[in-house]
Amino acid sequence: MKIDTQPQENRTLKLTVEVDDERLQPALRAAARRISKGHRIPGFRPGKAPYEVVLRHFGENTLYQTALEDLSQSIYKEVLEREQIEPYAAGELQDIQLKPVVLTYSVPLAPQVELGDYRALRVPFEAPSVGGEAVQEQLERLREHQAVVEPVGRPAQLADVVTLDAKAFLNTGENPSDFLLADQDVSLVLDEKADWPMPGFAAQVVGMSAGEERKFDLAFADDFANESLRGQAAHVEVAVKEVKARTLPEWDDELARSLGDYESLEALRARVREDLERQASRQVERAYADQVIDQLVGQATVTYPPMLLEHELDDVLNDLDRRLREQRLTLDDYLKIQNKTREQLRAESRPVAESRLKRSLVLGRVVSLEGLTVDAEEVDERVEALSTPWGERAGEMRKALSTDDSRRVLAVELLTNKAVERLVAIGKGEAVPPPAPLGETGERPTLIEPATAAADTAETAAEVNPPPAAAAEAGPGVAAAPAQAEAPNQS
Amino acid sequence: MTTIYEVLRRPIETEKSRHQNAKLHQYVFEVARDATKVQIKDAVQTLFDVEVRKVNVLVAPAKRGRRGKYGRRTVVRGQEYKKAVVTIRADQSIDVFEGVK
Repeated sequence: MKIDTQPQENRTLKLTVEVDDERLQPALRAAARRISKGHRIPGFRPGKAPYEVVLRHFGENTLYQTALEDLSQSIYKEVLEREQIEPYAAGELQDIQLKPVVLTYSVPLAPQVELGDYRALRVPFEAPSVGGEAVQEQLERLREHQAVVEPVGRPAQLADVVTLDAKAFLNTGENPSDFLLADQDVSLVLDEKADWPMPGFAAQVVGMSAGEERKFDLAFADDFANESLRGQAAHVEVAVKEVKARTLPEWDDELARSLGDYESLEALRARVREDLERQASRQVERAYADQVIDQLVGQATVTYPPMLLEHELDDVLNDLDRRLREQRLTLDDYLKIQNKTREQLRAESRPVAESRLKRSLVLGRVVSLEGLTVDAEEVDERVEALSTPWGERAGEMRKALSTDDSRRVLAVELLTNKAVERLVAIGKGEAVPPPAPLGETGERPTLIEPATAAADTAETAAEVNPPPAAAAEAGPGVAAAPAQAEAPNQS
Repeated sequence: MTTIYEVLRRPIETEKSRHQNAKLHQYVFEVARDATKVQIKDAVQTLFDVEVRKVNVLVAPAKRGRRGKYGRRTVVRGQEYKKAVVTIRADQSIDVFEGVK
């Protein structure tokens, strides 16, 4: 066997193998046997036709093709072993030449990620601040929810709640296309800024009292959101049925107590501020992490085999498909709506896939450079944290998360989070532990062995089983028992 | 029937004939309907350059089949043909597929 390797750019290896006759012949014979098994050749029972007959009946091409289907696989494996090539992903058979048989493969190699001096990376960090206004706004919103609504006898004012029947149409209202709305018993908060059912509606209703009817015309502004309505005049008929006043409660400790478990207004205010701060800091942290990673990706040189990008593209499209499925759409429907072909969509998704791929390669590199690891316990914790909020169904959830596959996914996720955390720490210039002694470059994250994972499944399975007493009480509806067992976890 | 070249129609190749080739030194041909044993012997000896020991002939009966799945079923009739089993000297062989020499 003559083997020729040629490194190409983009971390791919071109592998040319000339197959010996002694390798080829047995493969051809085997192929003939296989073909004759699957087809009827007149005069022979299936599988009994001799080589020459099959050859004459189906031709050389079919025979070679069938033979090479298997042969190309086994030769690929053999060559990789002999040449000590470590492919990063599945290789691809690019070209087949007959006589002599020459196979050309392209083998993707591990991507090369050059991070540069990533430890010197500094990105200014701005701590989030929550102003008093934001707190006040949030408090006002809470107060609005507590507003008391009571019917009153006076004409409607702004900020009142009005129950009314409304009819609206364009022009004379004879054509069906002129129809705008006809609603009965709608409750509306009169707010000058509201644009439902149309801007300026509230101002017209102000001053009407219960039982009153009014007809008026409203013009849509030239910059109205719906283009077809711009500049049109609408004719509106309104019948007010009830006017209610909204009274906002006073700010006092009483109100704070009614809003939840707060001792005083001060406590409520503190709590709101805390919530807002937490929200803001989470947002800022995430944006900051993104920024750091983006910078790192920007300064890193990443070379990877093009095949990897195709895989990532597949992933991106699969993700899209899954999201669509959740909305009861298929990818084909989506394409129809967007008026695109599959190829167009693929081409458009390319930049997304590229940045995703680069990001994950860079993070993977950070993991190996920093020597970050995840152990089984951490995964256990994560499983626990994820399944607890499911309350009654926590047991099921835990079981689903404890399979080898999902544990692996979780481990990768944790590892990624760690890498991001480390990068954030570096970016902020905080003290970080020195990088681990360099292992092999481009190494993929090590994951937990299946053995520990399996043992763990057994453990959780034991946890889920209801205590005998509970099961006895529950009788036939044993399904309720695990829920009881889980109850302490729900807090 | 004028020449020996019109006697042999085609070699018959089946599992059975393969067995006869290999074990019994017999070769099977479809021959002209009016060919005689002597003519067949002459033809094989000249064309394949072998010594013929014995010729057995038979007329393979036409195969009947039925066509049409629903309604009228028509009986179709294949063609009957004459078959010759030629035994040659044990140390000789005919490569059936190389054709006439």
